Amino acid sequence: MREQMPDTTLRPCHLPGTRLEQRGGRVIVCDADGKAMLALNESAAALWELCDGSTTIDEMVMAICEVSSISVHQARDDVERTLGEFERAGLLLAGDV
Amino acid sequence: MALETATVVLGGGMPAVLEVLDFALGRRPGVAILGWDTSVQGTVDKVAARSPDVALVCADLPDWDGIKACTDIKRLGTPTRVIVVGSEGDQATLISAVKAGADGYVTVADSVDDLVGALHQVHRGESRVPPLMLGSLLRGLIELRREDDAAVERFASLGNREREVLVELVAGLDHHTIATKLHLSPHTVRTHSQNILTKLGVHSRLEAARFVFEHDLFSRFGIGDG
Repeated sequence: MREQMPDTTLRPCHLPGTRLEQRGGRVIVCDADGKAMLALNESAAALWELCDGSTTIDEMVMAICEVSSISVHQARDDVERTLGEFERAGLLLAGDV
Repeated sequence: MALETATVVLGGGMPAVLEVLDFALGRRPGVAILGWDTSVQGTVDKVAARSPDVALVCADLPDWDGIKACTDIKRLGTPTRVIVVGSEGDQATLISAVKAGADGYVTVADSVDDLVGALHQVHRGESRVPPLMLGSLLRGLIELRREDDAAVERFASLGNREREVLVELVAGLDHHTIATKLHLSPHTVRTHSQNILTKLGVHSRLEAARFVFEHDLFSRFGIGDG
């Protein structure tokens, strides 16, 4: 069955109260109580900062293409995969991706 | 696997800094310094003549415009990759560097090991941005793109006559001369001028000219000489 393509005009938004923290050289998404929810690499942490409810997936993809040597197709795959991880970890508001 | 040597030309306004970089980087395995220069044109000329894998250029200093150096090196059309060395947290310079086509950005707080790593990273065809600056860089680029899209939208709202008047305003012609040239009354030209400023969201013909050039609007809309 063909996988459903995400709507790239959506504006992902992280859960209220969640924030990034640096712990032991790693970047961690924490909930409002400081409980670690997900460890992120540098690119994922940058993407997390863009999940503010005002930035579309298309805008994220185009910005990443501008600073990297990867194709739009690859950037889109990377963004969608990372956002999928955020969603599976319960870090995004429902229906954002 | 043996490390492929990255050949490098250095550019920056301070000879002492370049000498230190030449000494420190040139001793590392996998790095060969082909030369350095303290002027933008001299640096570009060395890159053109020696075709290094990477040009490592300092950001803006007194009497040195690192962003122009980056732009001019990229305009050569050679495969040389460019890394800009700037201040930590200097978001404006980082964005300017990316806009100028830089393949990497390192900071003066980075170690020589970091510089060597960056040289090899961009030599491999990858890009390099300080991890802690990546999020705000992406945010800055998105904001610029939004401003650009809004500028295009505003310009697109101008009628054909308004665009003709704008071309003459940007060229510096006064209302009477524009009226004669376009076979309009001065009153009509004044009305068009006011409408143009309102639609573009600017307050003077000077601002209008800057708006047009900043967003390259004449070229993008195929008007005049661009």
